[in-house]
Amino acid sequence: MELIDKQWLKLADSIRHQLQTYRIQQYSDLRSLIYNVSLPQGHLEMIRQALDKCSYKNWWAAAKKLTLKAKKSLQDIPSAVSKLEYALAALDPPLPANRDIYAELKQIQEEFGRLEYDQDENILSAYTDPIELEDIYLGDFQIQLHLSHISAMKNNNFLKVIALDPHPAACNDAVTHPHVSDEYLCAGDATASIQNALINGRICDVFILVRSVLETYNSLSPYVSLNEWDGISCYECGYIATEEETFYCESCDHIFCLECSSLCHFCETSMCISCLTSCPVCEISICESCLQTCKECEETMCESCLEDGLCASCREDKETDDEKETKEIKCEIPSSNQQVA
Amino acid sequence: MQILYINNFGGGFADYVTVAANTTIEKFFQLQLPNENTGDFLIRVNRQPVPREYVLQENDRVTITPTKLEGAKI
Repeated sequence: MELIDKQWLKLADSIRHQLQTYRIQQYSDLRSLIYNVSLPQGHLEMIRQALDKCSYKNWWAAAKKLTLKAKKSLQDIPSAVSKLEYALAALDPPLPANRDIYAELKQIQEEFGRLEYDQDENILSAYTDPIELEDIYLGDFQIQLHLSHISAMKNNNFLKVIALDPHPAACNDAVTHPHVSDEYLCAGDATASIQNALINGRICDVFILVRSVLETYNSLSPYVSLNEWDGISCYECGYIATEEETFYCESCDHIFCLECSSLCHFCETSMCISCLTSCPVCEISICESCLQTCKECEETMCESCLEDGLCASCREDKETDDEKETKEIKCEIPSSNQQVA
Repeated sequence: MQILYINNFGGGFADYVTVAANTTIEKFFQLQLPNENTGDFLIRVNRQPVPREYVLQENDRVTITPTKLEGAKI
């Protein structure tokens, strides 16, 4: 619903209250961060006292062990200090006044053309223009800021992006934008900026930053790349398939559908049916690399159709020749009963 | 003079910075983001778009937000 001024002021107050709740949580988190810094320091103090004793009593082996413990405690401090510094810096800016948040809401209206508030669900919404990335039309989107979730913003579930005219990826209905899946935006480079803007009540900046992400394509890390948005076309027959329904031919470097591809029976490499051949003897599917050659006739066939390097036909010929040779040898050798002239 | 500068490029921090008198918004941008192009950013002063020759005033609120930000997949 669109609001009148009085309602905007009430909404601004509600948002400020959410931010205040989050600020209280931040103060609570600060205690454990301070503890994480003080704990290793406590250890170091104990080690110092123990070293005093070791020096007094000449316990040098024990002193050596204590120095190792001191090293380990020291390693934890820089990270703990860094986290504490960051948390303290986040608490630096004061909470925005109601009038500042009201000004933010008015600015959203100017930047986006309209701003809506769902009182029942406590959701603030702005709308993008239709978005087209690399000639792929994605439609327009509603950016929802779930105000009830602001105070628990660690879970990042305070933002949703709803496709109003969905043109999802062919392989996955839930991906309506390369960086939106199941209505959740993966903000990537904008994540820290969005959180900082929200923590500091710069609500308009949150919406503008989300819009910037929606209007930019990161080809290195999409849920589905725009190249494959409309599916993957089989190189052989042109059928449009999803990624799971396609196979890569390692011989010709193209992508094929299930019907146009198969596996080599021996090495199990996936190939297109053009690059695969079949054994001329048993007709099993086989790739060129797995074909072997008969030593005698030099015919190529699968290894199952060869024995001792010979095909069945050459083996038979060889056996016949061997038998003939054996008979000939027997005839040439004279028997012991014959007299020599 | 002091102005409030909100840099939504990077960590998104806000801070008071000192600028020389008669500094235009265009000049300010070039000083803060010397390797960037104004066309890739949304620049607002006191929540309003301003011409490049706008001269900054004491306590102005300047926001610079990239219009191209790369998302990712989780």
